[in-house]
Amino acid sequence: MKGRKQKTIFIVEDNAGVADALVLLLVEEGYHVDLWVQGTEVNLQPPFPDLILLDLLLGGRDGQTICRHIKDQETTRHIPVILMSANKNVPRIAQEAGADNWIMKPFELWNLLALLDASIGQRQLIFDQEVSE
Amino acid sequence: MNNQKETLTSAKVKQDSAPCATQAKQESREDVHAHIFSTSSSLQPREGNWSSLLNWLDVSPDALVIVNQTGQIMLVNDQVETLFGYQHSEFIGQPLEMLLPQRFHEAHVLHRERYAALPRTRPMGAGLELYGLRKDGTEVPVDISLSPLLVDGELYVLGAIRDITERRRLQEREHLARAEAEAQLELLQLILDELPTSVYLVQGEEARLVLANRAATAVWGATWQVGQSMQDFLTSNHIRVFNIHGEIFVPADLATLRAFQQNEKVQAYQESIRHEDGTIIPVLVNAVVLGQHFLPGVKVIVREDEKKEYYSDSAERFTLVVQQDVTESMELERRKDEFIAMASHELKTPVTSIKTYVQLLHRRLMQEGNEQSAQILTKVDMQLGTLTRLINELLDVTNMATGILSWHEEMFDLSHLVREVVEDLQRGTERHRIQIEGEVSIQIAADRERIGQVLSNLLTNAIKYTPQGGPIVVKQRLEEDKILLSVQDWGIGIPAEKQAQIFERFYRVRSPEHETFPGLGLGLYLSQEIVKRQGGRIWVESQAGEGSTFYFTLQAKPSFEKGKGDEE
Repeated sequence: MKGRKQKTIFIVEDNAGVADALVLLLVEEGYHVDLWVQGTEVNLQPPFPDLILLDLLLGGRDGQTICRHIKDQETTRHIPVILMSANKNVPRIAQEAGADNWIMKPFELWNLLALLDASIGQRQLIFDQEVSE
Repeated sequence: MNNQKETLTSAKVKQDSAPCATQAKQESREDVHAHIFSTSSSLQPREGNWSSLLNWLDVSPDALVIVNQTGQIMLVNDQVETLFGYQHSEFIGQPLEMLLPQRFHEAHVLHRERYAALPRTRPMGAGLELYGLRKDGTEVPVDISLSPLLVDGELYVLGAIRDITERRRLQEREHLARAEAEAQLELLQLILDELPTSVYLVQGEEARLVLANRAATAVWGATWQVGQSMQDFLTSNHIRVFNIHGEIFVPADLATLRAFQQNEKVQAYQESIRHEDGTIIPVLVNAVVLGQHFLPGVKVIVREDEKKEYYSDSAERFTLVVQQDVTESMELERRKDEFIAMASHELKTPVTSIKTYVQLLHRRLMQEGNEQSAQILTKVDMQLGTLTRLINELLDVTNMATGILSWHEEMFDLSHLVREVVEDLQRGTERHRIQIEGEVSIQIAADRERIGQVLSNLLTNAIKYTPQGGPIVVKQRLEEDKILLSVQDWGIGIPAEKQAQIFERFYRVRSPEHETFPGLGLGLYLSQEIVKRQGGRIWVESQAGEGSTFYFTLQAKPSFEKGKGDEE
């Protein structure tokens, strides 16, 4: 597994307070972070991130639609997506949208970090396997 | 009048101013009977002779008059004298019209002539109100029957006159009573029609309509016909009634039918009425069964000839039903819920950001070795946890009211969850020691977060209501297909009389010693709803001053028991 410093996480979050805190945290954790504050801005081009942290309730285009789109594209399907929401139904919504995982707001720091590690690690393992085959 | 009575029969026979009477032959009674009462054909005049007539005229309870074809009175019986107040001699040979009020004279002559042309036995003036004129000028209501009579080959007409004063009086009284009852019922209908609340009265097991007001028609969206059973009314108008969960009602469960069948008062029963066009009217229904003595007027009034008839046929009891249309208050409630849902969601966003900052700062302080400052941030974080829980409770309660409590079932190890929740809450208290006893490592299918919420609520309460601190014990036990969990504390306890209410929404034990404990009063209500949803039960055993033990059960649904330690 590559070190955290080499990993890129895209955050899609329209609330400035939450976005700022997340960026602060993830940068401190050694991730490379890109932030989109509008759902409509999301436009994935290579090089792709290692993970996308996606808010569910966004202005313009909601997280569910964006996730569905990412998972529908051959080129972006492999990118792990974590849906974030204060909505109690996020587990179901995440499943329906094809997200890899979900986290309920407000979250515990350690919980989020563990989830990021697990998601990137997991994906990396599968990816490595595919490459080696 | 007494005088006349004495001379009754003889007087008449003697006073044979009646021209034919003198020729009367004596015949046996049997013959008379055969002649006079021969009913072989009503078109054929009866035959007889004067002497035979005289034998039975006076035994009749009715006043009898015999007239000839020109309308002259030939013979009368005693009752005629009594009825009209004339002496016997004053009648004979006089025109019959003397017994009629002046206003009928002209018409009567015509009627008489017509009768002579086609004589047959029939009532006179069918359907008309007939009156006789007494000697003193007063009128008397009468019924008259006519019968042709052949006496010695000549045609006469026999008129039987009956005084119906008494019958008329009774009829009038009945009519008045009926009119009065109708007026009362009409007034009742008028009053009911002005009420904004739907009111209707039904009778019997099938709830056949007796009366309904205008608001009832509006609520049902159709006119319920008087006498129509409720089931027939609903079916023929394609009306459906749903319960609070949106399920269609079994007819027997409808408030109207239920009240009658179980003979109990139904109060504030929630029903949603869907009209054929899809309109839905939510109502609160009260229904009460009445004994028949409550409605003296209804039974009298069965008016089949008018379009508005009141139904009543037997001694069956009545059910009075009042429906309150709560569309508006439901709409208000819905908007309030929407507001709370939105507000809760909006509140969570800043909490998320604050929580992340706090935890970030906490980590930095720890890395710098500033544990004392980090401790303060731990407390801030705990408070944020409490705030989040309160927001979630509000959101859950509003969602529960609309029946959309989020539920995400998964398989998980119960003992892991218990440990997690216990550790989480232990972090927030130094004075309490939370112990786990009898750990059962079992996989169950349920909403992990919700079950955690129940346990967390019970532990939070145990901590809150044990202000002096001390042990709190969490026990797990497997009982056949159920898991029993309990949370025991040795705190202030709950008085017996308040134990039944603590699971109610917004309920908080009110007493001087409880006043200092904050909370929304939602925790136990939510816990109960969650446990019920999981197919379990929640209850409490407590004594004031000695502490409480809360129990709840969980169905160990499609599951497989695992030996302890298999996971590790």
